[in-house]
Amino acid sequence: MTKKPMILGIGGSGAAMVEQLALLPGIGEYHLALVDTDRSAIEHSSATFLLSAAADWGIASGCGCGGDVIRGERALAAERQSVQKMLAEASCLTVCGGLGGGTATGGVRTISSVARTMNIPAAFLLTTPFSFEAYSRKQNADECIRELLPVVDILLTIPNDLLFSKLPPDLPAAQAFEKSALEMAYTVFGVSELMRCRNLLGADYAAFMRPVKGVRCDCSLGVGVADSSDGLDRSAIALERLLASPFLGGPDFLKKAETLFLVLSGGTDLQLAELKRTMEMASDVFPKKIEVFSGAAISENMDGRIQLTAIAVKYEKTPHTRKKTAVGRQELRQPDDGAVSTGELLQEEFSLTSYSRGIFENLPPTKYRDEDLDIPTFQRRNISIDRGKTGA
Amino acid sequence: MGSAMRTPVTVIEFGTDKIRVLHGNGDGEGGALVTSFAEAPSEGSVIKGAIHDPVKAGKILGGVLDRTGNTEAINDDNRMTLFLLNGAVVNSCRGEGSLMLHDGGKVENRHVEDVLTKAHGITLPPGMVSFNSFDGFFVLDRRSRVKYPVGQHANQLDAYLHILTTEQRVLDQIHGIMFNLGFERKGEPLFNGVASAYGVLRKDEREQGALLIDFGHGACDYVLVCTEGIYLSGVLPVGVAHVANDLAIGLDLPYDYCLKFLREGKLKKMRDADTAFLEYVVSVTGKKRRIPLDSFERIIEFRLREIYSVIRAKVQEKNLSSCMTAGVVLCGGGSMIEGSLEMAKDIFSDSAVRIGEPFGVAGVMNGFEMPPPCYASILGALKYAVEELSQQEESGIDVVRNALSRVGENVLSNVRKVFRR
Repeated sequence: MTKKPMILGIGGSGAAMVEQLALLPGIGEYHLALVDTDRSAIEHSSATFLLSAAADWGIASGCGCGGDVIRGERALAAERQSVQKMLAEASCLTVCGGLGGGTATGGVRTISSVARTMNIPAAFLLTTPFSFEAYSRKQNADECIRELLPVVDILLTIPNDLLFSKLPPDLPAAQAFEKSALEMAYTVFGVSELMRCRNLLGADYAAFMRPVKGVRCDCSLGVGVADSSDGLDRSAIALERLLASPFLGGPDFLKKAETLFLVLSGGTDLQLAELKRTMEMASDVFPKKIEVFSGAAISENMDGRIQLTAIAVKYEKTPHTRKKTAVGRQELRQPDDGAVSTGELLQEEFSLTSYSRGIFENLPPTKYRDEDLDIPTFQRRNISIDRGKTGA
Repeated sequence: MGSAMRTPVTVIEFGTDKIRVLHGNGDGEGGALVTSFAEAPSEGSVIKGAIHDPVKAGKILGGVLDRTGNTEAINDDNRMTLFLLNGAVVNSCRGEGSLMLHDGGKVENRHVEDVLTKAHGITLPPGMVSFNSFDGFFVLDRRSRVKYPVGQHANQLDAYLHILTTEQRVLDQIHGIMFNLGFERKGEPLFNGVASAYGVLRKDEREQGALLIDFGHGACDYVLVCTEGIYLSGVLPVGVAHVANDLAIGLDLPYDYCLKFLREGKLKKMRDADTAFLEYVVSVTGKKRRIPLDSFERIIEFRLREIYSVIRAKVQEKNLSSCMTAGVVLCGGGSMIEGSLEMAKDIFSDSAVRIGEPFGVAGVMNGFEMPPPCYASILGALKYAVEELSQQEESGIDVVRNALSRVGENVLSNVRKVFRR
């Protein structure tokens, strides 16, 4: 099998996105892959590459992770060799899924590690939990993002809250989730088109990577699709539909956005004038202060259609930090420079975690910027580690 | 280049992992020759690069000296003895001197001597002494940075030295250990990072600018060399021991087991064998624990990333990133950890990164159990000594003896050119 760009869905959300992707025209240029711990999702998937990783529940194996990140991590770790075989067919990789549960949150680390080892350019588009979901899911997602940020080139996180904030409240829930998956699928497709490097406007993988590497950012996305049946001015229609996209966040989000990725995907019938007009119209519409990265990708499968994909990126400022002293007492959270103080009273917490220094226990600490470097780095970063399972 | 080149040299290293002694001399053709070598585990007498238990360290050193088979010769009149200094006790500062020129503006040797004397005249806190000083660079008329100012025209000459300092008690402690073992003359201290730089940096790297990181067992030394001068140096007291400690705490494994895991490169070997889990037998219960290799990888990655990020921040704080044209060179045992080179490449993404192996040293190498980058400092110290001895023979100045008494004397001879042509 020849190497092609690959779109990989991970976990339940990833499976839904992959199903929508399979229906898009132009998807033939890609390998579609799905990794999940839920065997039934694998059995019903249209993806070309399927990997069922078993989270070890005994008789319930193959029924998902139950939101347990450690199980998700172990399941993918055990299938690392299979992941390697799968990614050997990929020239570049786009990973999509939803953080907060077990499979994607635990397993995405293995995917990123394998991609890095194999030197495959990879972009990660992951959603973060709803605000009404359990706090532990948000914590799991935050921890995963913290860990992924230094090691992946492109990580775009899309808050689920944003996905549904603009939809009509009387829309049936099933339709809302389907629409969300479809919009995400279009976006994943648009991003993947940019990475495919058949790019006319010079915005390639490296240009895509530069503004977001190592930086936590929240994104909103908008997709506008138009084809020849929509009339001569399909570019204007595509732009109109993009701006009307419920997941773009509207003017409120765009005002706060700092970077915008704009990708025009079209077929061999895309004309120069059309390309120029579309990009000019789009640039006029978005706030001037936004830094715009434009890309245009051509595919025979897109003949007669154009798709305009926009990803608006709002960088998270240096997060509020919780400084922990050597004895585990936390100081008051301090807002960083530039953040607006709301005057809100913050509840202090006493950390019940005691940090071991191991062989350096009775020695003077090695201090650097208020941190004791003798305490393991992963502990100071609040990263949980799978210590493995003891067998019989 | 005759007798001085063959002057016997003894180098002593009090490493966190091993205490080492090396005897050697010049080979008569500009290179260095090892005549004998021995090492022994430091058994906790040295921690984070600094001597923690001098009695134990002395005992171990005595045993190592005996094994080199050269104990009686250590007091040869001609022998040069060096000991490597490391740890958080080593600090650096910049000495600055300024001189206005009134004699037609042409820089002469006496001007250089005067300005170096001023540059060397730093005031140190009580109890601190300078033990090494190296060329930084000269500046003419506050505009042009030059390496060799003699013969050039200027109204003002500024000199910048890189001076390494430590506590007097540290030097006294080491001299005490050596005295108890029969050394009648005080050895000469040399910063571990400079020794490693001598060992692995190529001439073009020293000229264009390179950051040397010696990733040792107890500490990481870093030295930025540019135009054959030192612009920056430091010690981060975090090393391979911290990586092993992190694994031990994170995975609830014995420290020695984790150290062995790192040294034997087991992560790579198991990955190559397509193994996803390490099976560890809990000795008390006999039960097996299956630990994902990903967990090892994550813990190691976090620590390596932090170490290299801290060093990078130190360079950026001094705005010296542009002085690293030739890139970054890693050495020491930590550079051989799986993923260390890749992590350094990631952190120093704007620079070329390589692992440096000592070169220009031949002779008895069968005492070396581990890969060459681990011995960069001790072999580099031998090269340093050989080069110093050849300079001594050329200039006729005895710069070897009484290292501590040289402050305030003829500074031109005291300032070591780091790498002469």
